[in-house]
Amino acid sequence: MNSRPLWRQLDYVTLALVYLIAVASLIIIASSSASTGLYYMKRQMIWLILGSIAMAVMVWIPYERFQKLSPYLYWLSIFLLGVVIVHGQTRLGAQRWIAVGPFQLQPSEFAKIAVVITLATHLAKKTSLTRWRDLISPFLHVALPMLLIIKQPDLGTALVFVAIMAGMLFMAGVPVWKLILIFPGGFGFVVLWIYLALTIHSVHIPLPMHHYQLNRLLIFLHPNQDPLGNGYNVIQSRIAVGLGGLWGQGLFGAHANQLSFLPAASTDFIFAVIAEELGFVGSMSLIFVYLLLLARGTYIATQARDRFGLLLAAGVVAMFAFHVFESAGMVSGIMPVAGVPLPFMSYGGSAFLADSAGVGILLNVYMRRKAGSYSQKAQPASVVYSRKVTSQQ
Amino acid sequence: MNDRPTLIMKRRNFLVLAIIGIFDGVLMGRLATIQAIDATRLREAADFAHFRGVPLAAFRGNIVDRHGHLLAGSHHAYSTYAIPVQTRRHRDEESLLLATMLDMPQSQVLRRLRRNQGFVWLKRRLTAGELDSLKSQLPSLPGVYLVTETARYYPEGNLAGPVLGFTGIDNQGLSGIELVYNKYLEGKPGKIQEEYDVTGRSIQLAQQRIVAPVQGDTLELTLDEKIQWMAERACEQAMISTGAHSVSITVMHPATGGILALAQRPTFNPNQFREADPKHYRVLAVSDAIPPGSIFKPVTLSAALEMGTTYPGASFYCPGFKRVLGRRVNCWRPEGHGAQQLGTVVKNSCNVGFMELGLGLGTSRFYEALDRFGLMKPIHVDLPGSARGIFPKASLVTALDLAIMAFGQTLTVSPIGLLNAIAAIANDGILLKPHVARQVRSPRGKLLHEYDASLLGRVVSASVAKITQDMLVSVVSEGTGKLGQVPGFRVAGKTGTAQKVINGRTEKGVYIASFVGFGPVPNPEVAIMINVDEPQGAFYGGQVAAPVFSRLARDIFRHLNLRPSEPIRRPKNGVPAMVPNLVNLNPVIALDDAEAFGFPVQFVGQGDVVVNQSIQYGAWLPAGTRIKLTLGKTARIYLEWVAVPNFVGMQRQTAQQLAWELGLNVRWISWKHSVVLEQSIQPGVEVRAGTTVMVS
Repeated sequence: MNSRPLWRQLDYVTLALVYLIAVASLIIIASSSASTGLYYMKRQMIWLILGSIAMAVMVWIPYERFQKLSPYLYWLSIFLLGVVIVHGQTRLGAQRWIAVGPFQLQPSEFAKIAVVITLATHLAKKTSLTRWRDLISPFLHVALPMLLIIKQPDLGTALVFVAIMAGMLFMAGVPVWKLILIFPGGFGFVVLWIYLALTIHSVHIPLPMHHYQLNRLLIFLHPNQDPLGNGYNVIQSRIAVGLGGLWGQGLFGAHANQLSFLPAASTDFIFAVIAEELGFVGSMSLIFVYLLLLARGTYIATQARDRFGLLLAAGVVAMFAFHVFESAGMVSGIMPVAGVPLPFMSYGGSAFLADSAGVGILLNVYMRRKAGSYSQKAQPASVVYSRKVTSQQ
Repeated sequence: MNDRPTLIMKRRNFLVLAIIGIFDGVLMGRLATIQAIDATRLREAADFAHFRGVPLAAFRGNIVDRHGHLLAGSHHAYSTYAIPVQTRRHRDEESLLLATMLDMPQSQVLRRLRRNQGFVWLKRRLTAGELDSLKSQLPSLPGVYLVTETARYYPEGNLAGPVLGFTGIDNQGLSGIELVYNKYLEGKPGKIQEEYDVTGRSIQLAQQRIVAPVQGDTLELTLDEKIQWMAERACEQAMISTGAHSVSITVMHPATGGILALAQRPTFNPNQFREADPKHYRVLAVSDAIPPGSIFKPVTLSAALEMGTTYPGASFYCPGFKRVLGRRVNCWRPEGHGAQQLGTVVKNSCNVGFMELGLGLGTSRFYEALDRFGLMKPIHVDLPGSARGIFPKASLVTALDLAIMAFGQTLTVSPIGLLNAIAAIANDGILLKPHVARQVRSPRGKLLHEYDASLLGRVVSASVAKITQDMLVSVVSEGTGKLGQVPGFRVAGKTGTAQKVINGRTEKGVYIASFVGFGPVPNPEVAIMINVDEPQGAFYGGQVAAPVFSRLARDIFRHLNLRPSEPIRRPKNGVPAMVPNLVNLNPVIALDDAEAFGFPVQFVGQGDVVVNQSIQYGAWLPAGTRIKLTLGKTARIYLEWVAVPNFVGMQRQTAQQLAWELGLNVRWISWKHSVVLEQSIQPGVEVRAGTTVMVS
């Protein structure tokens, strides 16, 4: 084991990247909500502090202990999601929040972290993942919280669970062809289902989602079909991005968001504000920082001491990756609109806390990595290059 | 160790990294596409959504006559508009208030306020009263604004109305000169653009862009406002004295091709063009093709001389008709003109002589001459709707057609085209482009375009032109155009009486009486064409149109300060003569003028100027009748506008006195009452000084 004190082993690269984004976020939030003064920035600062505490807690507890807490975490998150459904606060047509003191908390954000931890625990315990039936329990494990979130309704967050599951199963060693059959195949199945529901009128086929959700998903293909309705967000965000140009309009100088044309400017659509105010250079720099963070995350996964650590890191990376690509992708029109926050960038307390906890997990895994990762290379005999590799010892 | 990460797990990590990298690349490409390629289109979309523009109207360029007299100007006008989204809170109250102030139905106001638009006009061109009441109420009308616009006005009223044309509500030229030169006159509207937020409120950090309007260029016309006014008056008089359908007078400057005046009746006032019949918007002399009749003969004559198919000493015999292809074509004088030389043929306007000239020319040379005179194509004049003369196809023309065309029937020409051809003869054979615009100048006075004296080419040699001019002088001095004489000047002219062609048939008893002339010869200053369409009673051009020419040419020569070149021959006592206009003249000149027409005068009162004449201008009386001229201190203002006073209730004497002082004429319909009971023009109406008010 490593002789150096644990805190010396903190991954300063990840920390630096996260705080770089978080500090930039304060400026962007101040700019995107300039009309309301610095209210949102101040609140975000509080979340930054609380998030740092949460991160410290997550780093402090050795991650092996998470396995013991796993059942409690899982059922707590299910309970909180249930509370939201029973008496949550309705905002923007969805029940996602419960009031805790002066803040509204979004249990779905904590559920993400809970699922990462509990699914990692679950998968780490499994001896085999190659058979179809091995995949039933992980699926049910994720399905329960996910269905509760779909009920809110919050399609964006629900899809995060799919991404987390896909990333973790992949890293856990489920055969690739099965994963392809499940995820892209499942996606194709849903598309076919919707297509049939929309084209065949003789037999009534129920849609798997609300009509407005479907419209919102499909509108990104042709935003101008409904420029003031479903296409409004898409068009306005694209205008904002287009106004940015190479260098951007400058902080506080953007018009699309300053004039409130851009909806949810400081939360889900914050990437559009960045693109407008900082231009191609600014938004690309941010994407690059996220790329570094994700790459660092995968590196941490490779450095994990055990399968549980690796899976934890993989889940966090998958979660972040989905957030980044969905949030930036929907603004630039390569992804359908489903509101998810940009990690550490969007305004929002629950998300910030959850993301901080996620980074805490990454740091935790890295900090308690195996002393010499070289020793594994010294035992090549134990590795068999086959599909059943996970079942060998 | 069961829970050790396996190598395959680590391997998959790189795959994850690769997927992340690919996603990143796609995202980057997409952003680059939007921010570089789509950016301009998106910027427009953003400007459209973020900026609300209030137009700032440009002053339309002025139109002035050749001496800089304003014919069309622009003034400020106020209009009110609303930004509907800003009125949503108090729409009902606002619409009620606006409806009462703007004198509009409330439902209409409400409909406009409810419109799903960024900007709606509530009312354009507010009256002073509406403006005042609106200004005072504006603070209580959120979302309703005033904007300064410009509006066109024509200070001279219907003077040259059809020529000037008019503009629409957005100051766009719709007809006449306003239309043709719109691109110079319109200027460039500016705008105030303000950023608005998504709810339509103007916000504090908003950008404001002001694009200043650019005033249109000034257009100087070749028209002379004074000559135009004389032509308008002549038209008016001709309409009254002949009872014609319409009268059109065109005055051209032969040396440049500039049109000095273009008047017509009926006409319209461009300030109130909406109230006029749209068919009066046309400039008759330009857009109508008419059978010219005998006024076409100078063209045949000069062509025949130019081509050498005749010569000044050629002799003709007119028995009163000529047989062509077995058909008998009559001369206008049934008993014939007998033996005559070419000059006499012209003087007598003998159709037989001209048939022989035409036949001598032959179809191809005749058509070649028409082409040279510019009559075959639409006339290149800068007025809309230029008509093209109609001619039978050269290959189908029979000798009969040719013979008849030679004296101006079966073909049609636009009056301005024929006048231009005659002006070419007056200009010693050089054809110019007729035009109304003289110069375009920037608002600062920089000359941008000049249109004067644009040559089209020589049509006849100078010597042929001179011979033709002399022959046309003799038409006026001793031929059919005697009533076109201008005492003291050598003027050339040709009378014409064309049978109108209606629906392809020559109508009997429906005529166009015309006179075309120029003077003084040599070096004519003006060429004038007068067309009287369907005169009642007398219909010969020599009777109907020539006197109009005489009066008009005389007024113009005086206005141009031309010195008489000929001794003035007085008519013999008892011969009917026209009373000239003597008002506003110096007593010495008035005496000369009156005596030139054969009227002795008697002066009454004292002063430097004649203020009234006992017999009205234009009356025909036996020469030798005495005219009483009242002298006064100040000239009667003839070229200004006056408001008609209320004569009702006045003593006859007082009314007469008041009318004099104002420069109006009164005519008594009945003499039964000693006080005025009725007047033909309502009090307060602005009319030109010199207008006659009927009272009883």
